[in-house]
Amino acid sequence: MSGFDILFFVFAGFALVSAMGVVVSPNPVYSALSLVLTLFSVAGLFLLLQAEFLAVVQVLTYAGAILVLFVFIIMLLNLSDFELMEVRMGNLGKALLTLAAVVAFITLAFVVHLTRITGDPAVEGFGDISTLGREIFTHYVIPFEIAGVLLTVSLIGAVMLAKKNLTKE
Amino acid sequence: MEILNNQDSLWYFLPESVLILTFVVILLFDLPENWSKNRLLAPIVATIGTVLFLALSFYTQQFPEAITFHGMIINDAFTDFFRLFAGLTALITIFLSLKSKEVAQVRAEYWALLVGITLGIPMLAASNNLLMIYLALELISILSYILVGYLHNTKTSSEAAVKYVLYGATASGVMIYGLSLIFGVTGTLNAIEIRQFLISNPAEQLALFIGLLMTLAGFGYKISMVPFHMWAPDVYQGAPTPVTAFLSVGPKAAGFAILLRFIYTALTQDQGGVYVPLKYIDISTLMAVFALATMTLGNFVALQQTNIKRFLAYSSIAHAGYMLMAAAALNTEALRGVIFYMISYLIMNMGAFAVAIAVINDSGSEELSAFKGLGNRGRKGALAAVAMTLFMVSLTGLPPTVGFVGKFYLFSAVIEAKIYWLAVLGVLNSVVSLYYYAKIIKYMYFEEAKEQKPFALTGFSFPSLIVGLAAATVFFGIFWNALSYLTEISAHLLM
Amino acid sequence: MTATLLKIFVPFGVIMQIVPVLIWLERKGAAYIQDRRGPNRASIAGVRLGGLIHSLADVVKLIFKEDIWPTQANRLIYALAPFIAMSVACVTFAVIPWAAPLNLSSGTMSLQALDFNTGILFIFAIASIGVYGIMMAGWGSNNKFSLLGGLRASAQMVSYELTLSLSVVGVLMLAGSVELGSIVADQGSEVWTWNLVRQPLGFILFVVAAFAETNRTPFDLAEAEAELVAGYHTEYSSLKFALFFMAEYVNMIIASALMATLFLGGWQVPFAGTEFLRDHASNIFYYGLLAFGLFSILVGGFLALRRTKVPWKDARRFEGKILGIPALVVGIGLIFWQFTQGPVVLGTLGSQATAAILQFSVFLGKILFFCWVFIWVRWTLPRFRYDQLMALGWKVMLPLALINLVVTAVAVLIL
Repeated sequence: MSGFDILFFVFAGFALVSAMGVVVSPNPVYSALSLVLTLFSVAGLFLLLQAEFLAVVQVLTYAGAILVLFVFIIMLLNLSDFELMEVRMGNLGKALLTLAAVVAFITLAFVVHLTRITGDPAVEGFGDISTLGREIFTHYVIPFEIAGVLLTVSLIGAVMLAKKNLTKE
Repeated sequence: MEILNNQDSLWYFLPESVLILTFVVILLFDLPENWSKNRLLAPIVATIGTVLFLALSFYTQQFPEAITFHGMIINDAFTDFFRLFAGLTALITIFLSLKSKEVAQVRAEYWALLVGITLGIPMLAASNNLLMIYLALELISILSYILVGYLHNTKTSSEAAVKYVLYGATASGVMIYGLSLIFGVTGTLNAIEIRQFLISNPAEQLALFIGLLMTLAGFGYKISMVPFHMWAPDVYQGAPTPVTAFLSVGPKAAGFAILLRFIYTALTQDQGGVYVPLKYIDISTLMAVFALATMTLGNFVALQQTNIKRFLAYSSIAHAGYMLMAAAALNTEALRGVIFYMISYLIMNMGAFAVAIAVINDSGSEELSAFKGLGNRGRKGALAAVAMTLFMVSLTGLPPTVGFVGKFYLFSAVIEAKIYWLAVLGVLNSVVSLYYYAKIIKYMYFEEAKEQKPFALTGFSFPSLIVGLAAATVFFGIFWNALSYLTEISAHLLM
Repeated sequence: MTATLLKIFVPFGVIMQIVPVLIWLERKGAAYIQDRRGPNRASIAGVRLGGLIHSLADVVKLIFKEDIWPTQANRLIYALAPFIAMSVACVTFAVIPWAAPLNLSSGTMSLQALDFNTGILFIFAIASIGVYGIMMAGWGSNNKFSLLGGLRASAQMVSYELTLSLSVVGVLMLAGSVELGSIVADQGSEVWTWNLVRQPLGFILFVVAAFAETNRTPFDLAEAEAELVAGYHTEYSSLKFALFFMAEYVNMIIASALMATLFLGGWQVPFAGTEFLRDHASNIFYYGLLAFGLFSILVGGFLALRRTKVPWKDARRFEGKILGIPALVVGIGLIFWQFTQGPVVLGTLGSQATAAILQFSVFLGKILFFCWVFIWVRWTLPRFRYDQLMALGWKVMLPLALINLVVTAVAVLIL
């Protein structure tokens, strides 16, 4: 087992364990922090694939910005145990849902295992920012621009929903 | 088949660019204090933008069909049709919003967001790339969430928005997982290249099938296909009525457009007007089952509804079922049929919602009982009742209305494809729907109204819109040649 | 392998040594700004070094203080928080270049621990994680003041990160790269081609945003002592507090290093390019040592001959002699040695090392200058109110950063 393999299993293991943590932790703060750890581990996996930019951006935007806001909101609400209890369901429901999730997981794992992934070898300069930038502004310019429109629109919508007074006086 | 580069593609993108510009202009117009006081300014700008969009779509429609932006977007007759469709839907919705009391006092962002969704519809219909599909779908979805929750001081609106977001997030999560499986198997995001891959590698791939099912979940969610329909009734009920009217037509049509384009382009092979499913994915039977489930559930649950918006929600689920038959039939007739059906659905559903808005404005109640005795409440009441009767007849699919012609085309396509069981069960479903559509007619003419004051439907423009839609229902029901010609030229997919 | 380890540990060691100096600088700076003397009592064998020994005393104090665990705290998160704050602060140094790349027989060797393709983004990514330390401390302490501090910090850091990143984009466009090494090389050694001159608005925005990101006054709302006791670290004591304390200074050093790297030419010696330094390495070495000897003699002589008026009856009285006489001896010895030896002729490696050391020192000087600016500002400006902070960030700095970005983009396109 090479160092690469060891690193892969470390990151993958962390990703899985912390992803489990997101789901099973009783405390939403733990869930959010586990999600941070998951994102970090996945960023590590990206690094192993030489996708440095992807790894860094993953940490920068997801762990560094989006999840900070998640944690912020959770802390701001500071839900008591009582309020958290309300959304919990009965044991039978839990058991059934867990079973369904496990079945779905096994099916998917089985399917992915059987699949022959068709992949091309990585292009020259893969993971490099300039290559990525060139691709974004040539082949993928329209999805990029539409994503820009999408984000602007969602931003405006979010502000609108958060505002107290939507109607004109 | 020509794949254009970005610069040449820009000409094809003119209509959509106008919409983006309109969106920005509306937002900027609302900034100065004294401009934002004028509540007609933003809708007027939105209308001008949409009209300009329509005009430019007629202009770009003359260009040769092409695949633009390095294979991201397809500009063919099908796309042109959905530009037209989106523009018309948006214009009617802008009008309805101006007339509805629920959204009478909205800020300029409301109109900007409507323009935004209108942009999403042709984008989605034209997408040839899984990435574009996802982005356009999200553009429509996110804007829909916001518009649904627009009246967030009312509890139902907020509840609807939250439910919509939760369902929507799950659906898009499932869908993007499915898309990633498809990408993993085929190694490409381009729908045309996916077909080419499937033709040259006909070995069975379970992952592809699962990925396809998951992708269908995303599409199905958008068009409220059973079993992904659960959000529809609550959302339709909670949203402001003009938004509901728009959601039931515009985004739904876009969902159908991409569902059909994806299935026809990526999963079938064109053999002279008959699209043969690729070997191991029996997409035809799959979609037939979904279609049957959707229309049956929609029709049977609609029987028990007492709220007009929930009623129309289940009715729209049922109609989604009919339109899904086109995805099962897989021939040019089916494409023509579904396009015709969409136009007829636009006319009759918008009409039904227009009357519903008038009734809600008048009574302040969304219950079906508000329709009671509508036919006996003065001239305006009689007018609304007659129009509503026509829309209900058309929704049922009886002659001489446009709904009948649409259904006729669809069922004939199904028979052409030799899926007889679906055709028979579909017709039976229409019979069931007659019961609940007729219930409204019965309420309007044979029941006593709570209060006998004349129906409040003031002004000139709103009644004339209702009359116009009603007239169109009948006119196109008798003289459908014009529409038929439009569907004939539009039912062409570039692949 | 050895080279890599050296590249990791030498800068780390240097930074760790700057921290106590900064603490001293902060106290002395505050004192002189407030017209008092500042710390000047603690000593080791009479040596006080102008109060520098106080930092050492502080370390001893913090190590031996009782480590208090609040009973209601969330123990895991409470304990993890200071480690996250400190380790995140330290990791960032990996991508900062300390001197011009060396030309070895085996190829060029860049003098940064991690020659990362996405340099500046790596720094932003890691720095954006730092807020978790503060938030976890605030939440884990289960104290309302701590929680408020953590909430303030998170909102503030997320808000100012935008400006921080956007203000740098102009620099990135000028350099055409996100690698810090290329950015420094692009600026050249002439002062007027440094980004400070080419990107003045970007520089101002970056400095202000960096102040906010490091939670320093006037943006230290997370620990505003007048309102929140001590903010997020109210409940911390002993070494856990020391970690937060050190993290603050390490963050300051990183911010200063970034300012120097991005806007002041990093390791560039003003008006002396790397080639020039390497060509004249022997002379620089010779005259440098001479100058050092002279300096040593002057300072040592001044200290040794200074009359002390302190009333203490212990070794502190003889501090001038204790420090001055050895300095005098070293200075005289150096000059004597240099004169007898004559200029040494350095080899390629030697001249490169000399140039690197000089560049490293100049870089350190720039860092220390910015650290001093941090301290200067802290003891000069009052704290912002929270709404003012947000208004400044979103309504003033972000638009300005965007304008700067657009103007720079147009300029780059035209020129």
